Amino acid sequence: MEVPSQKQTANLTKSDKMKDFKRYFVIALAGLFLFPISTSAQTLPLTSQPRGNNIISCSAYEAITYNGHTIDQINATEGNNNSVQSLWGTYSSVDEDENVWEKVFIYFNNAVVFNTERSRLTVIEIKDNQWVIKVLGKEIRVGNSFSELQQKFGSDLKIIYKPDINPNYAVSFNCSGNDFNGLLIDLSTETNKVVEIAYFKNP
Amino acid sequence: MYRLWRRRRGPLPPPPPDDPEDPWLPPPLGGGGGVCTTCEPGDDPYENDGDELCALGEIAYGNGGCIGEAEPEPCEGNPVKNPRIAEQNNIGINGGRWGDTRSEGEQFHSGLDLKNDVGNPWFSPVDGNIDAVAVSESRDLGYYVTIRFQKNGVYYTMQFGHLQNDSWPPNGSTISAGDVIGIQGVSGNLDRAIRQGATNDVHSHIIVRKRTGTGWNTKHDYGDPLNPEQFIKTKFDANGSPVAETDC
Repeated sequence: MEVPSQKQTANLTKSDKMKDFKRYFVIALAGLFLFPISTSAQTLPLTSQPRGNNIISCSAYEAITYNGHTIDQINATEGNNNSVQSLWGTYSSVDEDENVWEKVFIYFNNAVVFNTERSRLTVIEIKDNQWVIKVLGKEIRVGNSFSELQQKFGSDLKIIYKPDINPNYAVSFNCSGNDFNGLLIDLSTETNKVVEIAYFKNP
Repeated sequence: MYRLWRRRRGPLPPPPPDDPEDPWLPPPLGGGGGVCTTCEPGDDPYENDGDELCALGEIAYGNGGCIGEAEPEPCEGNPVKNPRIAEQNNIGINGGRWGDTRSEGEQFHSGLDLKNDVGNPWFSPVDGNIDAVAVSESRDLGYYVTIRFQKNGVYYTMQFGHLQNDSWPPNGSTISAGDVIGIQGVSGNLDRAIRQGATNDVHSHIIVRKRTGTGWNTKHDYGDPLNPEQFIKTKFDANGSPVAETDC
């Protein structure tokens, strides 16, 4: 076996270094182009979607179900313990803050909140994928991706993004002229997936 | 290199919004704002008589926080200088008033929505004491503080919602008109209402109730919400504009 001379070894190393440099240069160059592409893909809804509420008919808005029940059906319980359980079964816990007339039914990671003075629903917070809402007959649940929502409701689905108020972006459904309540579906800017679904009474 | 960059590029750009040194950021709550870390509960925020631990030009709030005097002192009887009613985008300024002002008169609004900027203080318009504070965030009203006060021999409560957590004086403490009673936030349903576009105005929802029972329980011993406009100095006309001679 022929052993390379010291000079040959030095030459080989230099050549290898050049090859390495070229390889890294190509990778770095590719990275420069690919990084913005991957970044823009991740933030696509924030850059490309129209902004605002998705307006549906008031009859469709009132027909939205929250784990199987409309707002009218939930309001009909007036926050009575037995009536609430007749809708969704046994709750994990119920808490009341008398200072603000608020009663909170907890179902694992989800909450249903009533104002006990008016016996009216004020909030539904859905934070796990066991509870589902139906808008226009189509299911939405925590964990759905934005592209899944687009497949169900159209590619021009509007979004809301006000990072000075909340870091998430949201999809909202409402009906024209309604100033009393709303529905916000929060999506994470990092994963583009639904992280919370909330019905709320305008405070 | 830095000097060279500055010479070539001119002044430095403003710091990023999450820069902790940014003077426009509200101070962290629960103490630590500005140069001080603790304040004596009940300190008069406008007198520097030597016992305050807040720096001159700062005011005490909560359980020992200091905040830059972002808002000038309101006149006695107002919770903020030159109070303004928060507008609802669909129905305008009347939607921020107490009464059947929502959904074309079909929905009752239990309080008065007064505007303030996030991070700015609310001041007690009355002498009284802290009657209740939020132990957790109300899903609707958010973080709140309730003041109990007397007027013409009758007890009332005045509740401020949508505050920042732990921004109020200790529960049960005595307060004077002009004391800071909380810092404006977007807690509760306000966050959602602003994002959805029901309103653009950050505000506190203020509820006043008259004591009608013999005990002190908010739910059992106080009556229906009253119009808070009766209990602040500035009056508003039919259009919701402040009446000039009362505005301060």
